[in-house]
Amino acid sequence: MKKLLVLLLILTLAVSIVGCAPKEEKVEEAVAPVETPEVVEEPVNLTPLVVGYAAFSEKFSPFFSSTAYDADVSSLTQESLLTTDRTGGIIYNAIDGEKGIYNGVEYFYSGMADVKVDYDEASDITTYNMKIRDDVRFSDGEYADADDIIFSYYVLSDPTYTGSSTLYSYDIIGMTNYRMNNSMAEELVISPDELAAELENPGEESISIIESFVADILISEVDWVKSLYGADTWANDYVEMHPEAKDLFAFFYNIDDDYDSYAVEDEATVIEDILAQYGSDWKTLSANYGGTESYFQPDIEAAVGESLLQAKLASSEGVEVPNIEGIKKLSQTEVEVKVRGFEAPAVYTIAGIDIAPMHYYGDESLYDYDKDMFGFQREDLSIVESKTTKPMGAGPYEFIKYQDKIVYFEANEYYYKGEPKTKYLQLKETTDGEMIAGVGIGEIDIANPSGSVAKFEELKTYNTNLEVVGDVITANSVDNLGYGYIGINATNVNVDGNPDSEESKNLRKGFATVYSVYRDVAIDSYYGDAAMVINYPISNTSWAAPQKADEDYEVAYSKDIDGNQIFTSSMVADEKYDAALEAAKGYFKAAGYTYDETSGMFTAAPEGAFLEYEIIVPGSGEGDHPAFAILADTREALTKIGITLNINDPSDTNVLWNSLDSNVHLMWTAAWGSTIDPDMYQVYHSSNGKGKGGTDSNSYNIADPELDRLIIEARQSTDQAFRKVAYKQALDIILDWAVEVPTYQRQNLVIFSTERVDMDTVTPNITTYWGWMNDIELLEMN
Amino acid sequence: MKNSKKTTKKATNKSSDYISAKDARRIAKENRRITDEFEKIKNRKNVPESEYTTEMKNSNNLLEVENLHTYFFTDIGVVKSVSGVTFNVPKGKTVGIVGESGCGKSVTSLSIMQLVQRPQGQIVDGEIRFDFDKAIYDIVKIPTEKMQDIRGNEIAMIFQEPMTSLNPVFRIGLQINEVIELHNPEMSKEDVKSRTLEMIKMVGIPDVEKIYKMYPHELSGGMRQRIVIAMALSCDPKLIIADEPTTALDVTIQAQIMDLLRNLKDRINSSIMLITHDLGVIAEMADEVVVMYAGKVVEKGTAHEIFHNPSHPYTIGLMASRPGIGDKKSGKLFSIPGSVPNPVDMPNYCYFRDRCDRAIDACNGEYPPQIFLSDTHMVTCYRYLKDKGEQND
Amino acid sequence: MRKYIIKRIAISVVLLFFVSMIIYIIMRSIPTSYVETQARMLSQMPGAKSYADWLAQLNTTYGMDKGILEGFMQWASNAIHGDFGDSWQFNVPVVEKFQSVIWDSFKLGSIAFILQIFIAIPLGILAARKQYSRSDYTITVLALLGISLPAFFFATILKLIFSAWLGWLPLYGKVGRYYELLSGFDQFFDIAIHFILPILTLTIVGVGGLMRYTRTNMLEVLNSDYIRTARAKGLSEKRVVNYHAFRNTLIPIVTILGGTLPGLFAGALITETLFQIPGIGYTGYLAMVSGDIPFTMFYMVFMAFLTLLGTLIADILYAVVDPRVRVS
Repeated sequence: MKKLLVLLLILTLAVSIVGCAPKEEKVEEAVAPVETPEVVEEPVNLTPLVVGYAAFSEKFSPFFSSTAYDADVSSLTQESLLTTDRTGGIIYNAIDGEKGIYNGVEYFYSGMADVKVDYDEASDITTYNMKIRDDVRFSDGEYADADDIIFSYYVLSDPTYTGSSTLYSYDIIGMTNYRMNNSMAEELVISPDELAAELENPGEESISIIESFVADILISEVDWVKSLYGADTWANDYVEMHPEAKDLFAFFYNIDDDYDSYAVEDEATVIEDILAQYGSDWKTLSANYGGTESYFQPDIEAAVGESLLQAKLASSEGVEVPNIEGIKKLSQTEVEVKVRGFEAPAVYTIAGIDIAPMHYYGDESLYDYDKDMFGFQREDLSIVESKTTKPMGAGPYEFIKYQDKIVYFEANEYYYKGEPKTKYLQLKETTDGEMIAGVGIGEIDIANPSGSVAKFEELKTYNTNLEVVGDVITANSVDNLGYGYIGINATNVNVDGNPDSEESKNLRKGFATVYSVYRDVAIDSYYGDAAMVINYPISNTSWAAPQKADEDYEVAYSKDIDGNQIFTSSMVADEKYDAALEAAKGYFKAAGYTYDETSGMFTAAPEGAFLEYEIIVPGSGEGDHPAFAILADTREALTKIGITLNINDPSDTNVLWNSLDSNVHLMWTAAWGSTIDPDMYQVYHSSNGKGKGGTDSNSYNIADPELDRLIIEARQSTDQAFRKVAYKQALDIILDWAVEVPTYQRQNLVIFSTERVDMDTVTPNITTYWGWMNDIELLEMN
Repeated sequence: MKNSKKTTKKATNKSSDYISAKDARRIAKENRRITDEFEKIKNRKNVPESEYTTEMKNSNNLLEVENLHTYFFTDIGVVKSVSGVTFNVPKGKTVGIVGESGCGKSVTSLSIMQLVQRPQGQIVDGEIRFDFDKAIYDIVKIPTEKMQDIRGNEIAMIFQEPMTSLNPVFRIGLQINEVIELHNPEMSKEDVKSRTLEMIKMVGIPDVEKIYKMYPHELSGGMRQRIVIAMALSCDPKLIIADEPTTALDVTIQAQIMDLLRNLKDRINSSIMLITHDLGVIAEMADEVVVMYAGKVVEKGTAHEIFHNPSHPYTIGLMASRPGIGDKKSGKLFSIPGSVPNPVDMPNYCYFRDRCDRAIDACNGEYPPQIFLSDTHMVTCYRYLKDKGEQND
Repeated sequence: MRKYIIKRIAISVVLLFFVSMIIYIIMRSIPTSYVETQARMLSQMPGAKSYADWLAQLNTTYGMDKGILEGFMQWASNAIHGDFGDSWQFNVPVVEKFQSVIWDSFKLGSIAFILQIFIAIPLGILAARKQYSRSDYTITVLALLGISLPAFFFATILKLIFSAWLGWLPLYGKVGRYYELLSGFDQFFDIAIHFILPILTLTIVGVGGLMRYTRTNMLEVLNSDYIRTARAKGLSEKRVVNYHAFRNTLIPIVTILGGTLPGLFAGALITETLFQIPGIGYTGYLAMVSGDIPFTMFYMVFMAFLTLLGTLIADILYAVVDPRVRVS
């Protein structure tokens, strides 16, 4: 028919439009695609290896990458000074190489640099010495040397550096001086007396600092008061008494007895008035806000101290600091970094940098080590930033371009371990749901889909043998670096305001016991094979994690108030739930709750505690969270004994983060991403509790002196065995405080196309710390 | 005398518009079957000419319509719009078709042009014989391609609504050119255009060149109707069917158009079939008159006979309904009470019986036969059965 | 006509100004802004500055410390000079990022558009001509299916059939793995193959509405008096439908098509995401969701401009096809 012909013509026309459209922008580093390689013995396989990846944000820089995926792109082009093995342990003599045993197999590890860590107790200084090979070359052929290392250090230390590395937070000698550009910066401190004196009689500057602090707190309190309306909270009675937010706010914070907020119409005026009442009186604010006058002391001290320090510096005799004293170039291949004090995890940050080419990321003409010029204009990282989207380094692959949602790489012919066997590599953006299909059909060859029951089922269908390892797809499960948990805030969930009392611990244990017993069924239904329940608040991948085979390994919260096991091995699920509920009753009673025998319910809570608690779970408002089933079951169980658990599932996760930030949370669920080192300082040390002036990451507000001691000791030791013992004790204390119920540990999938990838060349025994990209230079296509 | 409302044969309790689902399906199936049959015949290619060639009964006639039945097969049943219409149009004469709305006069004209909307509408029976000079064809049987040669060429039609009869997106000149070109492919472009301009002038429009370039919406109703007339005349048709050409226009324009038509009638030698419900127009223009009611011809004759001797009670009523100046003093306009019967459910007796104020006993019988009061005057009414030629009061 | 166009353009400029102001206000008022997200992320790094510190620093960097109206004026005065700033999310100038993603969307959109026209209009006319016949019912049902079933449903089915089962077409992506090794025509062919399924998806989804619209209008036209006149003139049915009737149906169709101009550049978020085509749909969505104000402003204002242009073109076209509307 004529119409069909017309249609065909149109299609041809259309197809030609596609071709004749404006050309895409020229790529600066366009490499001629069909490049016959120079004399090679074996024919190089030109089939590109395609890896499915989640979406990139194009921050492909060893300095500035923000997402893990961007970081992976960058790391393919980079080589790190620090070499680690399959357990996350450090290979110190990487140039010659070392052997390591994993899972009964011996492996040989090598890297580009030797790292030495020397702690001198007398001077309390740790010296990190990094020595690199002399034959490491960047992908443009240039040799890598200590100048590049120095350059990298200075970029990371620059005051305007906004990337994710925290090198500058370590107490490297001369770092603070350099960043403040004042040679007195490290010495100058504000003594406690000076600070106290300033607080007694605050100067103008201090007053305005304090006033703005007070104002900020009060204003955020207004928002908090408003959030109590329309929601079912503990403050319902108050809300009823004061129908208007401004009045409730005044009720909480008014310090002038003669002031009547009801008489004032306008909310803004009320706020102004209350603000005026306080002025710079932070002590009263502390009392009204946190219960004690010293509540805000750390904040005030920090802020005022900072300004005093600045003033002192400005008026001091300090001179400008041209370099960082503690970072020294010893030879063309050797660099030394001196740090005050010793922390075990520090080596991962200090030695774990990529050796970035100075002639690319910086300006060679601006480098002269002896003249204190380090390759860029100080406090001006624009050259580095301009290269953010195009990384280059000494790694196995060279970045070609990012186009059409694919990152193109070519093998680095100068790679010190030998040119990678697979010449072309592509990282192709793929949706998580299509990764398995992509490998099965042939779009991609390797991928990291998230684990779930459905995914496992799906990938089995591609293999003839219907298993996870077959003729089409080979799948590895790897533990995720991190775990999920339920947290309880000791500051707000306690008896009589004493977070560390036995009663308070029992109160929390009551909840924890019931949460724990429902973990298995919930995680199994949500994740299936893709996750497992863990019993210690630490990622299972860490060398410090207690293993089931260990003697003292216990299931979390499986003991009752008298220390007896709640469960027996013959119990079925329902029996376990009942047993747990009974044990919980025991805990609540011990906490001081009034129990009514006849109804079998609790009728009254002791002072400071309640019969009703709220838990926040970020399930997008739909209950879509692995722990949600746990909470729902717990709520049902606790209702039987008269305790009410309110599940708050906001559609906006910021509700959770804001609660955590302002320390109003009672209980919550979340997940930790762990670091390679099991150091617990950030999260469990009392100084990092909310508002204590530290990292504020200790949302549990656990403050146990024994725990603190253990943490500090383990942190400062290099003895792995010692640390493991210490951490076990620490974990037990955390469980005793019942501030955390460890829930699940996910498994990630790494899948390969058996058909197209030569599985024999894939690095064996992939772990959390040893991904498939390690030894990528050996990977070959079929 | 007031008529009693007699019920129709099939008495139902519900209103007659209600059709049950079973009935609807049955009707639809029937309709499908019948129309499919007709369509099959109509859609044949290469119909031999002998099938539709025929002979005129009277060689003076241009058009002979005999026993025409045109039905519409609708969802509620078969609507018999035209059921047994017979009349002739002599050459060079003007025949007026009179009747009220819905009596089937438009459908008759559409049937003659084969413009009835298929497949729902079908000419079920009858013959329409037309004298084309070179041949005489029965239009009912003519295939569509042949008909397209005839339409606009030998038979032309003027429609009722001048405001919407012209295509709004084409210029006037183009629309008239088109019909000339179509039927005279050998004419050159300039000749076509000059013919068009000639036609436009002929219908009394002064500014010929300007109008040629205009769009229909730029003209008034009267002007548009003139253009439509020009279009109809442009190929010198033998028969012009004018379906209520002045109904949509106001009185003064009406007069102008009628003048125009009258003038043209004298100048061209077409026959005109003039359909209207306006007796005044008939009186002015028509040589012969056909009175239709409910799909049938109830009376026909010369204009003189009809006007001076209206015989059928319906015709008498029509005449009486004309408002006249200085007529009766009653002040109230006469109108025939009642309304046309349901077209789906036509009764078996005289359709006019229920509204007739002169009904006699014989009217309760079947539909009255055709009675000739003279050679040219026919009426279908029992009142004239026994005493032919006599009138009754 | 010229005066009319000039007047319309003048009005459009004013409209554009206010529309961009409204968009800016909305972007500034959304609860979580880009700056806050960044600050939160940065503050959660071990050993990093606190959230408040980061917030203050980033606010200044991104110019969010100004008031809303002031910020808008700043943006507007830059925009008039053609400087739309750098995208926060993508770290490159807004115009550059936009240009790199818009053409793919445009190609997809325009080809689908053309296909839709050439499928929908003839089918709609056919359905109208043969009303209540079998072909009419078939076409109407197909149209309804196309309208009701969502894009991701079709896309998934197409992928299942053509990619998973038959293996003829790629599962997703704009280029295949060998793209860089191919040359000239092969490269173009590679992209064309990859575009087939997304275009097909877009076409199926869009063709239903236009088909029904054409059918309805055509029915109306076919029942009108001047068509009867045309038939009475003796014109063949083909001429009546394809010339007289079609010309009139064209009026509403052309005006609708004029208004779809913005649609060609809007990108198809779902289709692009499903097929991993680097188009403006997903990019714009990403920018909006992360609160990237410069990019979103540019994109939205561009769309507003296109909408105004589209309506103007539709109005002009309307006057072109329908002589009744022309203002002398």
